Amino acid sequence: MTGKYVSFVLGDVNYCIAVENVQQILRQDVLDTPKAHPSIKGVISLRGEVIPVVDMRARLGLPAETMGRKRRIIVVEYGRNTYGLLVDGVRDIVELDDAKDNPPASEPERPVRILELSGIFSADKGNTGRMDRVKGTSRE
Amino acid sequence: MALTGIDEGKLKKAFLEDADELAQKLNQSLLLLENEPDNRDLVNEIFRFLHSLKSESALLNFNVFSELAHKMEDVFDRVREGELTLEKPVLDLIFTGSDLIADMLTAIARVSSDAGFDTSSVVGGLSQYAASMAPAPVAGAGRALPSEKTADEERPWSDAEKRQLFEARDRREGFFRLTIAIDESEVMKFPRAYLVFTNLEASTNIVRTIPSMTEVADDASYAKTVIFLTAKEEETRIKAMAEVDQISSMELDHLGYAEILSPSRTSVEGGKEEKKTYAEPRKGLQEKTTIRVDTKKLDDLWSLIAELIQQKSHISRIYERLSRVDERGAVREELGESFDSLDKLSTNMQQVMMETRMIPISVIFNKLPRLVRDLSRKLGKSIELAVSGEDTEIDRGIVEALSDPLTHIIRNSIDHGIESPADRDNLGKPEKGRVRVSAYQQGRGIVIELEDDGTGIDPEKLREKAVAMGIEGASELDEAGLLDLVFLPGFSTASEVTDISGRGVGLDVVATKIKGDLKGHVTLNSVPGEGTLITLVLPLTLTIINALLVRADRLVYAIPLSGVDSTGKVLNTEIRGDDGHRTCTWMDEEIPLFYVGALQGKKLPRSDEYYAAILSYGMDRACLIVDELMEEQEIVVKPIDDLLNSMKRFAGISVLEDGTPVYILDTSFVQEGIL
Repeated sequence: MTGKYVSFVLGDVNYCIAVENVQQILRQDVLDTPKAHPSIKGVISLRGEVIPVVDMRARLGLPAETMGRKRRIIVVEYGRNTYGLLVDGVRDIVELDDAKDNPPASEPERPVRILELSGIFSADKGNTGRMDRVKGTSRE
Repeated sequence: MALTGIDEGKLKKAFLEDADELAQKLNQSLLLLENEPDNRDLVNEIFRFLHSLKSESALLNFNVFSELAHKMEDVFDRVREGELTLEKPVLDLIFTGSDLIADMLTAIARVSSDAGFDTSSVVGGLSQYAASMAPAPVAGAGRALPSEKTADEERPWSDAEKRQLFEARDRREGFFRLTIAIDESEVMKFPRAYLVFTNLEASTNIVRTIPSMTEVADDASYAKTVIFLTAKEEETRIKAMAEVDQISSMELDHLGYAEILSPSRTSVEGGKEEKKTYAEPRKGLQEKTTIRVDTKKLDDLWSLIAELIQQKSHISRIYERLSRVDERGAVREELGESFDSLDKLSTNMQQVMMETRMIPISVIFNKLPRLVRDLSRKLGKSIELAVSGEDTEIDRGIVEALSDPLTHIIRNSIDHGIESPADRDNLGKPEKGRVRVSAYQQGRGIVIELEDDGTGIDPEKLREKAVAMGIEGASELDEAGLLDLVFLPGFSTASEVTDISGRGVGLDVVATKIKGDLKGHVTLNSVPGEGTLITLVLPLTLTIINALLVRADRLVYAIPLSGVDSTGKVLNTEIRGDDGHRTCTWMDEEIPLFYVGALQGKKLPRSDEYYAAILSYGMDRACLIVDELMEEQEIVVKPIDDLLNSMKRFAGISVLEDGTPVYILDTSFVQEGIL
């Protein structure tokens, strides 16, 4: 079974998430949120709604970097909520075989990791809104 | 018997909506019946609920459910015929059955099946009470309804039958008479007739059979059997259900309700008008005054109105700008008028929407009698529950979050507060413990009081515990301060853990929900030996508030106006202290001083004077320095995601008309002393 995925870059790794989850892809300034969870970059305002933006570099433990021109926000739906994922750049929509982690036909050398949203916003939110590190949800 | 071509999901949903309502009503009526076992109206009502539950579930093949409902219905059938009195053993079984029904509905909602439920003990237990073939001697008060006697079709319809027909008509069911003829040569006529009867009974409502199926007449008289029934089914289907071997002919007539029901309803033999359980029959269209609406649609409508209000503000600003530059008075005037209409319209819509969001708190209070009954039985205590103010309306969004805390508090009262009957006797208290729950509106909020006349809470015991736990300043706390301690985690003055309330008192969970989710307050008062009173104060609606907007650097914050005493300037010279802790004087009081930029990690900049807002929270006040005091404005409060609010500084989030996100400050820091 193949599926369609939106692929994006963080550091030098290609990640992707299932296209069903993606609402849109934006380029917008992010406003700080004081005292938010460390993985949160801030918020953006979209059609009158305030959407938390996850700093995906921080989430995956990558060192911070200044915002490049290619940085984009991928707006996703998770459960009943909407979130933005701040990534270094968005590449393409690719078709992948769910069962095996084949690299997309267009780039045979670059490994791709499929990210599950549940891994990004995983478990343990509890009262303090602590997110765990992305645990073993990306298949390698 | 698959129902092909029909959306099963929709059927299930419709079934669940009906069944949930019926199950709730069943439970309430059972509770009432327990106190008034001779109330015939209640018995009839319960019989009808069970009957509907049985038939509707049978249609969807929820057989375990249907069988249970059927057994319970049989029991009530006997009760209403005067053949059985409801005593404790059978009533307890019925209550258990009612619980199983509720549980199965939950399971059906989740997994579309009632399998895996063991109803055998209830069903078995009820079997001894359920309908027997032979007429039983009339027990108890002897107010039996006239039972069906012989093949006398012209016998007038009884009250009970008429009521059945009323309800069936309300449900838009068809009224039929099925006549079956069994060949004279057939030896066992009755079993055949009975087979038809049971087939039909599974999914239609039988009103009368001639001859009777419960008081078996002699076999020959079943050669012609007439069954009066109501059903939503098509005629072909009814006939199909009645198809049984050796039935030589069958005739189905569609009847009208009018002849039976129209000589006025008041010809009830000596009984009283029963207004409670069914609608007045009306000529012409049956109008219902309520409809069911998906709450998601209401929420969507609510969001749209919120946006409308924001646009209205926006237009108002455009109008002001236009007024300043535009000399074309006519355009401006027209715009002004249009805006006024829009203003009125949106205010009205807002009002109406707020009202649709409001539901009476009875939706929660109704669960309490059952809870109290079950708990008092389980714990061997005798409790009297007094409920008032159940008509008080609360925002629908609050209901879910409120339900658990309320039941938790009641459990505590019964488990730890109210003493055992023996103890109460020794203390000279009335044997029945009193639990009082009341709700009323006060200002822009709702107050809910939960009171018991139990042992109360001894502040000194709390002090002991606090000291033992190493809580600072415990030895100096006054009574109010000590009582507040119960809302901290880990506080339990119960010496045992029971399975009723989980870990001891657990009021910290209640406090978190009330203060966090519901943005309200909770306080506890107690007189040791006499009782405890817990008071909840909740805002009427969470969604639109007046707020003061302030700025610090690039960020805009909103402070609910209800928490703002005044705004103005503070001179550098009036401020004492340093970065760790500052104060200033206000109305002869030294109050803590904060800089809102501290949230963003900024230090108070050097200046001769500052803009400030004096905030209040409960009895406490504080001064908040800001970079800029902006305007006062109505804002729509939206819940703030936990990820944004990990330090719990914010009560919500909002958006200005230009799209700027605004963080709504939770002013409890005024009391806590830390920003």
